Amino acid sequence: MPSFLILVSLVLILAGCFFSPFLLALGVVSLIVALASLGGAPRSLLLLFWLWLLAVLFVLLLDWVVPGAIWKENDLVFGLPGSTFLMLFGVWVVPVLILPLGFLLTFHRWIQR
Amino acid sequence: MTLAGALLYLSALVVIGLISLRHNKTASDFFLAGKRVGLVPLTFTTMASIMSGFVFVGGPGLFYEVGMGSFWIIISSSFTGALMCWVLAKPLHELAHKHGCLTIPELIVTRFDCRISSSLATAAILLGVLGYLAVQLQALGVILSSLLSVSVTNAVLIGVGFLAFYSIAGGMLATIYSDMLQGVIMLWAATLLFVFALGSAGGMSAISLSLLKNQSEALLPWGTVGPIVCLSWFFVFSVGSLGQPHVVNRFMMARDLRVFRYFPLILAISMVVCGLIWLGVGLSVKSLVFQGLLPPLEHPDQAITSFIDHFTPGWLAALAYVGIVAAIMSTADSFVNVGAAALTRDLPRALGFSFRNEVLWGRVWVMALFAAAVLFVFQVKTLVAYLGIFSFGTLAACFVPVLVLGLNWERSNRVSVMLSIVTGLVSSILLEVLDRAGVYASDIPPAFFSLCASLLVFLVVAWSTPKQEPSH
Repeated sequence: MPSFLILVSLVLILAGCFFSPFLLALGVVSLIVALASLGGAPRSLLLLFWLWLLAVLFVLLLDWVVPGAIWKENDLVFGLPGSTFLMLFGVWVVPVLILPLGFLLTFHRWIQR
Repeated sequence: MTLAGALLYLSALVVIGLISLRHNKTASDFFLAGKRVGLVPLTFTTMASIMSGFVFVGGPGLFYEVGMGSFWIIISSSFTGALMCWVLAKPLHELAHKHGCLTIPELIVTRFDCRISSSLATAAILLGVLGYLAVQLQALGVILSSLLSVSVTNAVLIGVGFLAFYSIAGGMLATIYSDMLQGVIMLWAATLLFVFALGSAGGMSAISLSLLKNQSEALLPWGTVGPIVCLSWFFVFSVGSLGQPHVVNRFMMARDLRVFRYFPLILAISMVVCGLIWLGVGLSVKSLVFQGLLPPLEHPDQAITSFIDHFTPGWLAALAYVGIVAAIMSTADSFVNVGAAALTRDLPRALGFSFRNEVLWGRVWVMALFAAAVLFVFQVKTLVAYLGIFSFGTLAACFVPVLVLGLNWERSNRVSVMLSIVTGLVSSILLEVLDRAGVYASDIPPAFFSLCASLLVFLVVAWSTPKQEPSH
């Protein structure tokens, strides 16, 4: 099953780079999840990661397609435009709390597998 | 003070080389530190080998050029450690400890019993190592020339002298000891530079307002290059990190599997801290130029040195320069070790012989690789970050399918391994040549297509040919 998901993700990635960044985002995040699944990562963690990252990326893309639809450029959050803050918080910081912390919390299951 | 700091740091490296000298009795000691590495050194050496001149020099330079979009290159570093542990830690550790493998090509022979694939993997490693080593030396030359007030050529030669000394004398053990020292320096340098960078440009709000006024897209998530390019970088660097031999061979060195429990979390936090230098210096230099407080840069790679020279006190300049040199050296020593292992163990076996004294030959090849990289670096005029992307991409295209699918998927076989490495190698070189010739007219890095192609070839070939039971 993960191998089929990898194939679908790659097709989405290739289609996305020519036609739509939304497809590209969907493909990249799905591929990361499929590869982790191949290594035996817990499905609940991967589902959480997939949903979170995809939601963040789609919001960022939506804000790019329709500038100002979600944030006005000059509305600053912690000194940064809202979309930039979401990018750093959502794609850089929060994933630490999902995958690395998730690995630590499910370590016993991993080592016994 | 800067010069004193540099001399102190370089002296410490010499001491580390001398201390490690007597611990290198076997090839396992020289190439994998005897496979007895614990949590703290393993985490620091992994972090230090990933965070290179590419991040410390190329990163702020690329930020200056394309804005916030450049950060998609490093943004996945907060979770790739966990990904690596799930996918690679167990199979690599088992093949190293139960079957005596010391290199990635040896893993391929042991798992798939295929000498051709192993030889192709050796070729890919040598190509990637030479390219990435040249990136590091190019960055080292830029930094050391500012630090020691010598020409870039002389700076490269001085830097290589120290690198070669401890790498030859102490092998991987010296690399790990030095990476621990270098890792601590890098973390402090990144944190303090981030704070000073934001302060120098008037704080985050002032930086944002000046960027929004002059070049708003530079501050927005997709930078000046747009989401397709940013997401292609995100793909190449998140998935591609699973195929970097100088990083994944750390899993073969671990004392036992329990070491990995806290590894991804500590690695993720340290990577986030190191990433602050890209963000902080990148943001503030661009803003300082718009505010008229810093002259426009002649070359984007001068972003970091320009900021340090103009805005940091002497003690921080010393720490920052030493931190950058540490970042560069810690990656260079890892690459040269991987390259020397390939030349000492894998290349001779592909040709049907083996060296009797592998430690001695390992040292000879370390020296030869540095010499080749020095010759190469003087020919290279590309931006540090772009040469880094090519080398990273080549290694990713060749090794992600083999390591991730090959070691975890029961359908993988020697034909799929061989053809995916060939695809990765040929497509990387071909696309790079087309790019240089101006025929490849896209901002998407060629590595993006190489990695997709090699993964697709692996899947399709594995499905259409009989599966192969592990040969070990």
